[in-house]
Amino acid sequence: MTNKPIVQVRDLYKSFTRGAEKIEVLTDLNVDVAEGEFLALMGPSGSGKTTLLNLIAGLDQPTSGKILVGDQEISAMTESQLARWRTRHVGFVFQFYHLLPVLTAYENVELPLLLMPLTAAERKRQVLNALELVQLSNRLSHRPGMLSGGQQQRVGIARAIVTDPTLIVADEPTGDLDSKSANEILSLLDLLRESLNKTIIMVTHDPHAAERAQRLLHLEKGRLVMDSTQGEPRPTVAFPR
Amino acid sequence: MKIVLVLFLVLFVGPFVLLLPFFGMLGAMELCARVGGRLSESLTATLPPKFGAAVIAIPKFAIIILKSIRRNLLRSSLSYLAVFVMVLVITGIWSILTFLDAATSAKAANFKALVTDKFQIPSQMPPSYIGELTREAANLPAGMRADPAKDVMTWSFVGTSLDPDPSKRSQENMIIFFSMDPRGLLNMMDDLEQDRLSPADAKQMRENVAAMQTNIKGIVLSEEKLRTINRKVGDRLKVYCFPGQYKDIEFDVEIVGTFPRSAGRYDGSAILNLEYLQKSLDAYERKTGKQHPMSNRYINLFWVRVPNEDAMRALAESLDKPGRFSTPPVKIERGSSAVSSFLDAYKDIIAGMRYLLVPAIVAVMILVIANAISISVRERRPEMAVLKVLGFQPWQVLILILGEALIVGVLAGGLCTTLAYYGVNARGGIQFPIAFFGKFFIPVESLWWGPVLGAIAAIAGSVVPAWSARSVRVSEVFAKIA
Ligand SMILES: Nc1ncnc2c1ncn2[C@@H]1O[C@H](COP(=O)(O)OP(=O)(O)OP(=O)(O)O)[C@@H](O)[C@H]1O
Ligand SMILES: [Mg+2]
Repeated sequence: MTNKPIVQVRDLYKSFTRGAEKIEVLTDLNVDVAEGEFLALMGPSGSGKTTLLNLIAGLDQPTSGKILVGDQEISAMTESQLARWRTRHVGFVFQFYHLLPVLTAYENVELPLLLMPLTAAERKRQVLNALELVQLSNRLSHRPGMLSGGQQQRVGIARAIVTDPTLIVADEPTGDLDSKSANEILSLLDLLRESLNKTIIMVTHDPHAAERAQRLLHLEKGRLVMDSTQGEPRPTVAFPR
Repeated sequence: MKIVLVLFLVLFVGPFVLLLPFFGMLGAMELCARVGGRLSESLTATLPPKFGAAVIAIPKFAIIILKSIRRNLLRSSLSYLAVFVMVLVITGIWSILTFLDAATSAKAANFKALVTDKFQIPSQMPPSYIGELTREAANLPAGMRADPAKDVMTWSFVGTSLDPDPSKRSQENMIIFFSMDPRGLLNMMDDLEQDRLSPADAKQMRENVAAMQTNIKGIVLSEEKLRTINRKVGDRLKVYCFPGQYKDIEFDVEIVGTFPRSAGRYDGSAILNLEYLQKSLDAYERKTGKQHPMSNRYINLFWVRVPNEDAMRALAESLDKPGRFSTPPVKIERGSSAVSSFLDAYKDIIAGMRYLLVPAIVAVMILVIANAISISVRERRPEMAVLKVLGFQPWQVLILILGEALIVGVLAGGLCTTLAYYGVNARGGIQFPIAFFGKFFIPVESLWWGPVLGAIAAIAGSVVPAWSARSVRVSEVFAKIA
């Protein structure tokens, strides 16, 4: 963790224009995320958590400022470069799982691999490994409708890790689950970090979920108001630029 | 009671029967995609992964598309049925129009010219004109002249009834004959020309002609006509001419053959040997001591094949020379022009079908597809967004949506025209009496333009919704959801 940060956000501004109205969502944000870090992003509704996550994950472009992931400046990529970059470097976990209902668990997990130059054997191995890791090897040909919420979210996680991405981003991954399933999901994310050294950024409203992370960022009205590592709060004003 | 049954058939059984091949094809396509996927996986194992993966992805994409069609099967089925029915209507209209076009369009070379009474309708010419007109045509300069054995034909229309009492005349007992030299059946009748028939049908016609030549009382009918008068080949029957035409003439005929089934435009027609008509008129004169009123004007039409327009003009000039054909004077025109003038009465209907009905149906078809696809795209915006999140390029999302519409459209159009081509033609064509054509057959070209029409409608209908799916802005979709 002493290495160069895997994510560097510099002087980030993001605003949306809705008609004539200009909404400032993120203001002068600076964050570094180290490799292998499990980071939770909290804050009231509308504070810009999803927006920040989307920017880091290359789903949207900043109004100004720079975002580097690894040694690539994603804020300077075109849309189709970003799409290619996402396939390899980012795994997404959504609150509502967002699996394709017509595809089986296996096919859902396989989906991002269709965009990668793999042989059939490699692809199959990666899909089976990912489903093994989330303990769904016995549900390969089930469609999402036949799975519980927790199981669907595990398929979602398998889909996120199947490409072996640098970064896993999760937007309220436990938001739609009961506490038992939520715990399972959080343990799974822990496992990913511990055994695979994945970097995880998770947006959550749930303090219990946030506790599982090593580091907590608190966003308020588009500004970073708190950055605490392992329970030691650290005011962001002192955060080194 | 009957109407209830028909309604039941049309509303419930019909769609189900039409849907079966659709479901079958969808299943078969999915099977093919799976097998193709397996095959491509083993075939590309030796290729560099970069190319191999692209090949493998194609069947996988196809499976996703097919599964999406299956997902809302009711909606897909309704789109399919709508396109199917509309392509069917267009096919019917198009078949009739192409047939009429072919009948009225002047073929560049080798067309048939029609000689008729210049002023009188119906045209009635003396039998001596057969020889004289034939001679004129045969004496044209080389390269223009007609072969008397192959290139001429006359028609005399003879209305008869199985019942001597004219008041009892009905569809079931009426036979309208083309009275002609049977040789003309082999060379001069549209769609019965030997080289246009299948070998079996051509042979059937040659046997008919041979039978009519050995037995001048032999007649040839269509199978349909045989059914309506409830007789069979080999039967002998007595037919009585309409008193208003060949008064007091009757024929003892024997049914010696039928038209090949492929010659559907002759359904309802019957052929009588001209020689028998002539002999009957002679017999009348011998018996009564006076000429039959028709005996000098029983040739209605004289057909002659000419190699080109110049030949027809040359023939027209020689027919116009003073003193040649004066009682009555005659005119010559292209057979197709004669048909055209018949069809003039239907000009508005035909133009309406071509320029209003067909475009209207195509437009409705596009709207039906557009409606179904936009609903399904709107429902699936989050899914499209997820695909993009995973790294799918906009064009790949576009293809997924277009592919769905395309498969439904092509299957509907293709199955429709295929079923129509084989089904309708086997059952004797479309009944649509217009001018003197009663039946129309679906042209073989429909086998390719059916799917093409379906494809065009599918693309036109889905391009806007597919474009909107392609342009889904991921961040917006999830900002709203979360
Ligand atoms: N595409 C967009 N167009 C316009 N405004 C947007 C867009 N995306 C987000 N916003 C606005 O930006 C602000 C922050 O939104 P964001 O979704 O990041 O909040 P959040 O912290 O994730 O909230 P929640 O906890 O409710 O998910 C909101 O006011 C929202 O309306
Ligand atoms: Mg949010």
